[in-house]
Amino acid sequence: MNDRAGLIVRFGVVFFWALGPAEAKARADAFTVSLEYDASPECPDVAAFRAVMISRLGRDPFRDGAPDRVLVRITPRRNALDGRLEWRDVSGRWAGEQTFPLVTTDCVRLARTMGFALAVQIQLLASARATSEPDGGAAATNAPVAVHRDDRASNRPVTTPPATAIASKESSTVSVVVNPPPIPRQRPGPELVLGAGPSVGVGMSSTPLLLGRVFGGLVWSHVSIELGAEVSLPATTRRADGAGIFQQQLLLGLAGCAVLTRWRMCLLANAGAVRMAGEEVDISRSAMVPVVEAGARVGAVQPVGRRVFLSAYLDGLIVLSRWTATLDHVPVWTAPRFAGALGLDAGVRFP
Amino acid sequence: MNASSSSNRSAARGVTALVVAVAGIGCMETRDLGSTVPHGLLPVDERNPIVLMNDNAFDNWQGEYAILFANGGGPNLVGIVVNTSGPWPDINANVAGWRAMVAAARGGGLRNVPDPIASIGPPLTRPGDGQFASTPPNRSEGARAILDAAARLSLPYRPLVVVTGGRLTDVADAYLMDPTITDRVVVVSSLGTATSSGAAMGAPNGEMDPWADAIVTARYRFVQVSAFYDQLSDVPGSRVPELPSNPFGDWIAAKQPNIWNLPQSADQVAVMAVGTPTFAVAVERVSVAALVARGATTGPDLVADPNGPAWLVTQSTSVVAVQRFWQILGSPATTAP
Repeated sequence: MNDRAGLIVRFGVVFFWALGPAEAKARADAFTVSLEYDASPECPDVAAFRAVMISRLGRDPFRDGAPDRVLVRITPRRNALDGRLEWRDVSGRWAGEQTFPLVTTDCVRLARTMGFALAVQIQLLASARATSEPDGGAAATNAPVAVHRDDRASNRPVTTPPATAIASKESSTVSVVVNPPPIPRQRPGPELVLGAGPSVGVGMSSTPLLLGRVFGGLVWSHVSIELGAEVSLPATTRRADGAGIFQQQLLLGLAGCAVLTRWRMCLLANAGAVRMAGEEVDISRSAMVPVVEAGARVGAVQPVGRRVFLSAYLDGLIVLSRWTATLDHVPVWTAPRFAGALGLDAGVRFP
Repeated sequence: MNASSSSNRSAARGVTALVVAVAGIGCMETRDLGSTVPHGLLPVDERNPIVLMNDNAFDNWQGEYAILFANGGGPNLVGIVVNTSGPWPDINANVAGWRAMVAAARGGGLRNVPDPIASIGPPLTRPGDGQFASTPPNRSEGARAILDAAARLSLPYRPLVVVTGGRLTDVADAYLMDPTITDRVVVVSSLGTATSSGAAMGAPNGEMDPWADAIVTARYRFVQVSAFYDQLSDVPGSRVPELPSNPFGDWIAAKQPNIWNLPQSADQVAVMAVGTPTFAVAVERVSVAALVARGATTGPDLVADPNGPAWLVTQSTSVVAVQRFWQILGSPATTAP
């Protein structure tokens, strides 16, 4: 492998090694919820409540239209206040709640207590999401919190997340009943992915070949399919007198993959053509030769943020339609039976 | 052995079988993407490497042309083989002359000038059965040099060229040592005369080893250059002052008065035919009329034959070659003191 190929490989290794912790923090920071705030007039308004949250978290966790929703309600009763944090999923279904019955009318105090609890919950959710989301949320499906949601009556008084203890310290007079907020279930439909990236191919010319590709695909929880288009930089194989043959690969590829957390195991099929021409000869001719390849791919995906991901892959290919290029009827290059490629991609997921 | 490991082995065998099966069903296509075409009328040109072969170093400019062309666009000079002939029977004197030329060239800044190789071997003798294969080889140094150079440098599309200015003994000897050499070598000879029906392989050079002539014309791709010119015009006395002031210029100046005033001695025509595409003006395809008889004093006659295996240069123009000679001689590499 030449220097350029080696550089790409080293870059990929270092990149994926360094990406994990930083990417998880970035995803935690990117976690947002939509807020519905309903409180009596003597209570702080929504802006004041948001300010409490921002000061607690160091960022604004609220974004209109975010799929996770939290409803903050403070309802006055006779000489008392009833506070409630209620979580709903993307379809609006109830997903968990925490109540704050307070036997005073100090709504400022209650709002501060609820804000603190909500900040802790958001932080916990963000952290959980950051560690569970690289596999597309599959791990979240089996998280204990999902059980809690479906068994709310029995679990409501039992589960006591850190939020409970913290809230109790904040206000010793506030009793808290908790159902922990949920991690939303994985969406049933496939994700659309689009991306592009370079690769280094061997067995395609006399020297490693640099290729670039664009691809699109659909990803389910355990399988994915991908369609890509690939083109190589021109490469020339020369004989002793300097004459040579120029080659450029143009390929369409289809891959069907098994998805195992961040790993991908795929079957591949490539079809296309090799554009060829003689160089530095007195009479030059050109040709297009069809190419069909089949093989397997092993890859790994590394999310970066909520939608962006990077992936690295290694292809092993059997060249089904081989070719020999000659000059003066003397072979200059014969495509070997086997080829391979090592590549890096960057892509975007669409829900 | 549990069920899981058994299943894994079965899967591995299945994958292996699939890979082998898929690998076995491929197809192969061949595309020819170009070809080289000789730059002149002959099958070789300045891109072919050459081995020079001659006897004496003083009667013509063959060595000087070959050395200068090798330093100015080709052909590349990869070997110099020195042998003997009737007029020049002293191998030591012959080799000494060539060594002096090589030393002068190197002293003049010229590169790619190989050391001359002394080749010992008498003219070949026609065997009683008239079969080439029955001819005892000399196994001469010159023949070995040809075999070695061809093995190293000859390519299917660009064979080695043996350029001769004397007898063809060593060329035929190389064939007797290894008959496959003919696939890797083209012979271009300054030799004989053009006739109304083709060419005769007599003087100059053809009369020196008639049986070798017969072997070479029958087995090799052969070019006979029988178009000579007045070689006194190459370096006339009036141009001697233009020679570079270095050992090679001094060598040419010293040699100039002794150049033979005989066009047929201008062995450099074979070098010109390879190195200058415009040199050969008229070329015929010829074939051997008949095998030489026992006791023949010349090689076989060549007769015009559009489908003949050999080439015969009947007319030439030396103008461009002579211009190249002086141009390269005047280049900075050869004018440095």
